[in-house]
Amino acid sequence: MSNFTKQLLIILTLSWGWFLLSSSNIFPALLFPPPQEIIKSLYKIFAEDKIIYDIYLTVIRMIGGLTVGVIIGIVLGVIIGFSSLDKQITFWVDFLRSIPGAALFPAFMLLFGLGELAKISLVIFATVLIVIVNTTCGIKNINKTRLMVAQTLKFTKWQTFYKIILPESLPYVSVGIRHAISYSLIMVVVAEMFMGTQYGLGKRIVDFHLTYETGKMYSVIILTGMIGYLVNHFYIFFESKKIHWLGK
Amino acid sequence: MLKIINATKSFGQTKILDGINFEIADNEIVAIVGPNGCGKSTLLKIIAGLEKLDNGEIKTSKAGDEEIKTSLIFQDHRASLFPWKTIRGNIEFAITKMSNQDKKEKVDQILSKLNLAKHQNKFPYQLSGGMSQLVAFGRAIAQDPDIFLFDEPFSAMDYHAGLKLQQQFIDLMSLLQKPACIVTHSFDEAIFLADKIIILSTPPTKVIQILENNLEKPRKIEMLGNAQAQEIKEVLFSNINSFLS
Repeated sequence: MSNFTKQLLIILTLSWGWFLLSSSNIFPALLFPPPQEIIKSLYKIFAEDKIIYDIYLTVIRMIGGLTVGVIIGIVLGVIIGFSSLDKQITFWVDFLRSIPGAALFPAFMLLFGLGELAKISLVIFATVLIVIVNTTCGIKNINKTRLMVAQTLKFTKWQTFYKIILPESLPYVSVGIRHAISYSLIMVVVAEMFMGTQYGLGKRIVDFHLTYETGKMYSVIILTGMIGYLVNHFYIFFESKKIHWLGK
Repeated sequence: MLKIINATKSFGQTKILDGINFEIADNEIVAIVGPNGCGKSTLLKIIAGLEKLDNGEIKTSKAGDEEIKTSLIFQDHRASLFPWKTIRGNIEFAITKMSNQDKKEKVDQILSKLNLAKHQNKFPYQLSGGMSQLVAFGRAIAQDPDIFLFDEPFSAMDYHAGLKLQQQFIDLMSLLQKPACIVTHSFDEAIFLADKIIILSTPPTKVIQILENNLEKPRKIEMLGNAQAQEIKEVLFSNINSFLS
């Protein structure tokens, strides 16, 4: 049996289980719609509700915040990695990282208003910290032998940095980016739910919940999961091409 | 020619090297053997300019203040090569100040000398330990050094791969006509590779004995089993108890 067939069988079994569960009336069909209802809703949200625009905005917010966050995170991480105050600064990074992003919503709304700036700033804040921690770790774990090789090759400090330290810390940085990707989607969706916006997948989930269109609500949830999965796997593919020595 | 005169080095309160004297003649391969922690590798790093002497000096035949060019080959080939660069890239890495055309020719030359041309586009993690170490040797050749320094280059691979690499190594060295200093734990390696074997004591480390190695040349690995090799081994093993204490 091919892997594809196996996967297909699993999907069919799960749908069938879901179908049985929803038709058993343990939960009312309104709260727990059967799979065929969700498939119908999936079609409807594209055809009637123009969900594509919400997908677009959510992805833009996510990728925008993520990109800025990753860049700032790498720069700060490198600076902290080389700083003599790294232990002290790491404490503050750890402390800030321990504050759940959602707890900062009110503060960010006060500081940046209710618009795009507040949402994207939240994503940046959350991703910067993750990337900082991993980048600093990468810089700190440079192989001593390789640094000696740089010395025997008479590299300048700058050459040592961009020819050896930077590529060698890439695998660490990349792990940070992978975490940041998952985290950025969480932050965007929650921000869209609670910060007030016209469009966005988070907003749609809340709206369909309020109007009891549960079929549509679940289909947006599934869609959000698909987007997270796709972005993650696109990145892992990119990573395996660019950082081919990872884990070797 | 390289002369180590009264080399003395302490780490903190512990004296490691205590007045080491020996010399490496042109085209001579010198092996340094000694117990663990006697400062063999430190001595190599001092020659490479990675560590400073507390006392004593290293004299070279270079005029004035000009530093000798050294290239150091490490035990851990996995760590010393750059996994993000191809074999070709790793060797090229060592060449600076050269036009791209000259660089390409030089790398081509080295690759064919090492018999690595067909692997040039692979990455270090795709090669065996012996081959990786050969690449590290190639990079050292690309540096065009006055002296090659080897820090236990065969101890991170299995016995037979090590033997094979030693044969390749000595064949290359006789082509290159350059001096080398090799630190090793293995008496066999010292006997097979070196023209001269320096035996060091436990710290504070002094030279116990300098042994001329007259094993016939050109050297073939099977010579390690012959009577001449056994004679040298006997001398080396007469010091073994001070190594193990």
